[in-house]
Amino acid sequence: MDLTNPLLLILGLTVVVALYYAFPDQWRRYYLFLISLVFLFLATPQASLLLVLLSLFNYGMGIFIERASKKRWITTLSIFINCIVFLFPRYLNLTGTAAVPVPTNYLIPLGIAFITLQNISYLLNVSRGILPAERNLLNFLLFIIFFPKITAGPIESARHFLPQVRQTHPYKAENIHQGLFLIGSGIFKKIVIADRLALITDQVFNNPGQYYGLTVVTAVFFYSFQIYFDFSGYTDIARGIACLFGYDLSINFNKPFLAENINEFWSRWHITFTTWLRENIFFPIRRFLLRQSNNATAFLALFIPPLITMLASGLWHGLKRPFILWGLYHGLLLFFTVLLNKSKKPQNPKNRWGRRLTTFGLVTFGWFFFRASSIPEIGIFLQSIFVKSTTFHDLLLDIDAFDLVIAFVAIPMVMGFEIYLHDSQKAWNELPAVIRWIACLAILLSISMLGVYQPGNTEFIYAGF
Amino acid sequence: MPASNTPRRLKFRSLIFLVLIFLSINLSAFYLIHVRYQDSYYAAMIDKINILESTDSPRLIFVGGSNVAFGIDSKLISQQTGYSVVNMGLNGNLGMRFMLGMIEPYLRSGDVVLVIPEYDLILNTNESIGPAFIQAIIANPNLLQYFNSPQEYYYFLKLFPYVYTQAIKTMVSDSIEKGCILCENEEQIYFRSAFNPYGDIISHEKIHPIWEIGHLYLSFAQDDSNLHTYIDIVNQFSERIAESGAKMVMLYPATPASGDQKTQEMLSLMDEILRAELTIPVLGNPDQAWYSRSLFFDKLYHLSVDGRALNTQRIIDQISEYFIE
Repeated sequence: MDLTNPLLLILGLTVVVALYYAFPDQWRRYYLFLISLVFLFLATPQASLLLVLLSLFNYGMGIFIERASKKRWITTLSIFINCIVFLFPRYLNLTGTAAVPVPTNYLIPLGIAFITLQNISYLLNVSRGILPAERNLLNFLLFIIFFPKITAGPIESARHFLPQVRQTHPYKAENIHQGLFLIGSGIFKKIVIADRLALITDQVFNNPGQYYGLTVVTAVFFYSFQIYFDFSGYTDIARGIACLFGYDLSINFNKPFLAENINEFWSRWHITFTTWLRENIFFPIRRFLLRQSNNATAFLALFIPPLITMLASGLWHGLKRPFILWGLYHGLLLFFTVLLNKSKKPQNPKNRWGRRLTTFGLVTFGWFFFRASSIPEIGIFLQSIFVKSTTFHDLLLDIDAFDLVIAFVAIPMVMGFEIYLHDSQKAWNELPAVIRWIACLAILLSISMLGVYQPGNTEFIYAGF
Repeated sequence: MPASNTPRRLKFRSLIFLVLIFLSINLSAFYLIHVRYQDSYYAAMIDKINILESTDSPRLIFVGGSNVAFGIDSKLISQQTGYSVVNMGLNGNLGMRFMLGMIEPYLRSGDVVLVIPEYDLILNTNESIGPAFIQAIIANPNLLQYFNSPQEYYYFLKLFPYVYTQAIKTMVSDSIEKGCILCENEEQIYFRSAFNPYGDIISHEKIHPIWEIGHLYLSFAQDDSNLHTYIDIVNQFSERIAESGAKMVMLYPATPASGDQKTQEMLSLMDEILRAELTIPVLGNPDQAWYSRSLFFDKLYHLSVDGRALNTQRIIDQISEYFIE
């Protein structure tokens, strides 16, 4: 099922959802599992078997850990094996040590980066006694490979998802409405905005050293919006599809560009991932350092946890130096934010927009590290900002004014709409029906008539991890 | 009617109303694009099918992409062989499945189908199906009737949004820049009436060749599954048409001589596999269809008038040998 082609998506979902509700309630889990399995095998046929085996392993280890007396060692070993499965194919690709060039999809199952985190958090929760090990194999497998979230999350915790698998899911018109709305808005974000911005950003970032000054700065700001609309668009589609089946997936974004500091940004951006990092890396390291009570470790407890957490975040995105730099950059920003917050008086509410713009600027600068494919390339981009200045017109030469106008109109509209919706969901529901219908019609028409459907260029950015 | 049903009915009616507005706006846009495409290169498929339908059998029916449109002199072939000739070549991005599907209903006993596929049609992923496939259908929605496999519906759904939104974009740009929604086709070579009554392209005959042609460079993808898809399509088709008494052969397309060692190895390997696995005769081999780059017009497979004369003679020689055998 192609998540970025509305025609294929609608057709596929109509059939899959209609059959889902045609089954008796007790059979629906089995059906959903089967569909997820088919989805997985169609996407990465060879590597999917590995994923199923890994899921069986984690299922068994969950039960074993619960019963074992030396939980810590078994948990560590299980996590280590999960990490090996996740990292090994990436390491081969990185170093070129494979005897024959191995196409990525032969070794890397779809969504393995997201699934590994789910597995680790499950094992840790069982080990800590927060969660009982799941005894029902089908429930566990569905938790791991539930198809709407497999491509790029959200990273679900077992605590949130497993109870839903155990519940019955009767047909509710409300779920269908909500699901369709989320899918529509997600496709809009991806096809109308993100892919349109990609036309501009790809041109600049795929040709390092060919664009200068304002053009490069504009491109990186556009990339900031592109990655947000691409990833949040994907999340909306995933949440929408899950909603059609009566499942609730976690929210991943909460108006991140309104964050007033980096700390806040990371509590609003890719929320399920940052929550995972906080629970499983940041807090354990911080607790460990604080336990060694002396002045040196108290200072280190400010510095080390954000640095290691963000370094892990960078490495999770890929074993490439630019990602490591990106992680370190954010780690340092987090550290300085904590320092500033410690030393300063309460912040002036009047400077709110100033702080928001500064945060947005700092985050946007970080995308240079994220988007570049090598360290020298980062150098070229940074140099090209300062060394030579050209005009924005240089960029426009290759960009259709039509695309630019739509991007400029759609970005503030959608962001404004999101802020409004989030602050007053109730107010939206109370709006005159005519306005809501017109909004829906506008979204549908935009998707069908203004979308950017480049053949072969419709991958979600985060589906690559 | 109970009062509690009223909001539900209202909701339902609103939904129907919304769907109707959505459909009518999109259908209007589609209609405008359809009208704009009536003079386009892809609309020529309508005329080619008419030629095919009205030509008496026995016929030589040439099938392939633009290499066929540019590469043969049908009149000369007809004179030399005594067969009626129909040139169905238009664009390789229509895909082999669809090209063959279009001629199938019109085949009669004694007809010979000569397939001359671009190498992309044999080796590329997605059966080399591209925007042209949708553009031809928008120009003539009746072409949908020639779909005979789920793959064609899949590619249609996959590519339609891209072509449709691009066409809307062009229409909007034209209406802003030129002040017309249904502007005239300004293409110099690629337009509907660019063909002669056999289906050969002739619009380029009085125009000087446009640019230097690149080298032929080919590679198999990760595996040879694309090649086998092509073989399956051709074998299945030849099996189906055998019942109607028609025959089928394959020839190689005209390309600039390739100096690339890997490409040459690739072509001979491909030739070997095709000869072993196709159930139809393969006439000649790839290097017999290599010509000087100066004999091409504007793109890799597009021969100039001089190139077409040479290529036509090569084809006549190869099919004559086949008929003698």
